[in-house]
Amino acid sequence: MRKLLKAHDGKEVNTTDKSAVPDGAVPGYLLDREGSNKTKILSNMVKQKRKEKAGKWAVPIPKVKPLTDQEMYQVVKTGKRKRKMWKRMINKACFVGENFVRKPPKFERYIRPTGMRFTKAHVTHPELNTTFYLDIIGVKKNPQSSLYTSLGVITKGAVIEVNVADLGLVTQGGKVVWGKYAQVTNNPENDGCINAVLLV
Amino acid sequence: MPKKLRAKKAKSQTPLGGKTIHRENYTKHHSNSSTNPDRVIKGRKPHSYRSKSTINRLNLYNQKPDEQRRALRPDLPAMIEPDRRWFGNTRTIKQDELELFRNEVREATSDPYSMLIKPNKLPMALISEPSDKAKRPPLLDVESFEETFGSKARRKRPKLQNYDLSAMVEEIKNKEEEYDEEKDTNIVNEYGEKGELKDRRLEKGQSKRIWEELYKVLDSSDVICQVLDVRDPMGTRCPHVEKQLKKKPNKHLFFVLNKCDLVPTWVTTSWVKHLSKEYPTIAFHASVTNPFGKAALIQLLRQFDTFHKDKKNISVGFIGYPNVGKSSVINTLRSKEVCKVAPIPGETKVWQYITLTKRIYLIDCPGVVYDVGDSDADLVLKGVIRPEKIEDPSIYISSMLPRVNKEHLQGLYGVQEWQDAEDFMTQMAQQSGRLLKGGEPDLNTIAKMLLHDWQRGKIPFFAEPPSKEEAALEKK
Ligand SMILES: Nc1nc2c(ncn2[C@@H]2O[C@H](COP(=O)(O)OP(=O)(O)OP(=O)(O)O)[C@@H](O)[C@H]2O)c(=O)[nH]1
Ligand SMILES: [Mg+2]
Repeated sequence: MRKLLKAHDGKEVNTTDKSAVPDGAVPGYLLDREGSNKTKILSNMVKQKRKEKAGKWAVPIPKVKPLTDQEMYQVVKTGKRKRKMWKRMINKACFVGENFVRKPPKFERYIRPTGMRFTKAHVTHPELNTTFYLDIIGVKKNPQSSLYTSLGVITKGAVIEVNVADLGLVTQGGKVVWGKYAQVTNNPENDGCINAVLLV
Repeated sequence: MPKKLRAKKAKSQTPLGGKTIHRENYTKHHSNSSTNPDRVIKGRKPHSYRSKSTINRLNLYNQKPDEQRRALRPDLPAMIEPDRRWFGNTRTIKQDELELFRNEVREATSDPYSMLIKPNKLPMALISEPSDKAKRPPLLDVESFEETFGSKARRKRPKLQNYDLSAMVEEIKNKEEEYDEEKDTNIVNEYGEKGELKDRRLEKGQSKRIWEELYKVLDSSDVICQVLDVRDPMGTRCPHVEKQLKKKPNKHLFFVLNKCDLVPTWVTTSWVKHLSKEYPTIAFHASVTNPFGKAALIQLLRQFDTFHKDKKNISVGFIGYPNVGKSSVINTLRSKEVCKVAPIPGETKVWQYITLTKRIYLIDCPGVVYDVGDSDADLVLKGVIRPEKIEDPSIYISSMLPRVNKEHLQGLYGVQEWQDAEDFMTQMAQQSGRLLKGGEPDLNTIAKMLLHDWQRGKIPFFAEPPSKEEAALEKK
């Protein structure tokens, strides 16, 4: 909030400086000249540059609507009287590794149902305008929360690592590329498939 | 306040009057309460009472979610910061390394005693040779491109299945002759159902609920133990599950041949020999007081445990047909009545976790029947259905009697000679006085009694082990 207020304050700073204009009569050719605030201009320029630089490395979907806890984790009631409420069900698309095995119930806090587990994604190469059906290697970042990242939950905007061995990409040094990041562009929990765009 | 402490407090004030920030939300409690994760009991070793993580976990069980807070939506959008690293390559491999991996993986996959532990950390698509299935159909081998299109094309017309009407009619006729209406499962009957109308009671162990339980167990276990009845091991196997587990190399399957006490030893040994070719097999007699094969089974579980050293604990799932003794095997391992056991199929209804040691958990699963096109009689004689729930039990006796040695029946029921099943049951009814009005023998009651005895192992029988034929073949 404080940051926001400060930003607003910054807006109100006049780029013109009245005191820089001399009092009294001024020749006509100087009439529309007002003292301009050099520092303000400079800082604006720096900001602009920073933005451009950042824009170059921005992912296709930089912002997504945040989820509430209710949408992220469904409470599962357990126990003989159904009074224990410490378990959570994740009704979102997930990626679990090849060797995944569920924990015993007394240690398992987060349940990821088998029906929502995915191993493959439809990844579009933005320059080739072609879509490939690629294996997922892992979930690198889920913007919703770090816990979602560690649980391997795939929602819109998540960055996943995919196996691009089929694409035949080669580095300048002659190495074969087989892992790249891609960003999820749909809501997999609604669509039943994962669509993503390769980050190149 | 003691002097020493006061001095320290004064020091922690900064010269400008501000206080250094301590972690305020975390205060260490010194109580000895069993819910205090920080408790230290003097005079006892730390491992002799509940650890911090255990107490934290137990406290967690009682936590209630705050629904109001859970409904709050964060005001800032979920963001992914721009970064150069998103656009780079994450995994690369050199050509010569690739060649090396390719050779090693080829060796590992051809060797049945070694396995790849982390295949998704390798570019398997680059390493493995394409399977025959993934290859495109050999269109170009049949008709090459030059022959088919372009100026030098030699093809006059496309290849079809039939070129004239008579050949097509001929083929259709052949197909019509082959068609068997009884085998067609797509016909909708008068009740609007596909397939033949089966007795629902014969579908025991095939309901969606039980299959769901089975898949939960398969998903949760590192090691899977399929319990088979020695009297009919092949009939109580579940090929469907075995095939699925082959696709998941990290799950290990082994067999336990239960109820060894009901058959002669040579039968057990030859079955063990036969089944060991596919999966590790252990002969077992489940009994809390007088078990057999328990040491071998525990030894095997220990080995699986050491194989999974990197994990905190392993889970062993017990699956198999109803009434083969899954729950009994678990009770035997624990030497205690921990799972409900009954001589009726479908006793276990939901999955159940049992702790064998701190590192090994056992999972009991309800019995699952996989429909492999068994006849009704097969299902009944496998002991899948409770005898009292069978509508017309006497029809199954005719397929039961030929499987049993005649002497055993003579000894058990005192009937000396009989022509067929009905004759056998009539004689039994007359002997035991189970007659209906007018001296009619009560065949259904007798049949239920027989099936009852059959399921409880009173009537000795066993499926012929394959080793005899094999030995004969080998000799030839
Ligand atoms: N003689 C003999 N009987 C056994 C043995 N193991 C189990 N039984 C009997 O088989 C019957 C069924 O055992 P359960 O352990 O309930 O079978 P289950 O596989 O758990 O059955 P469901 O829970 O219905 O799937 C019981 O009456 C046991 O006493 C054995 O090794 N020898
Ligand atoms: Mg049971």
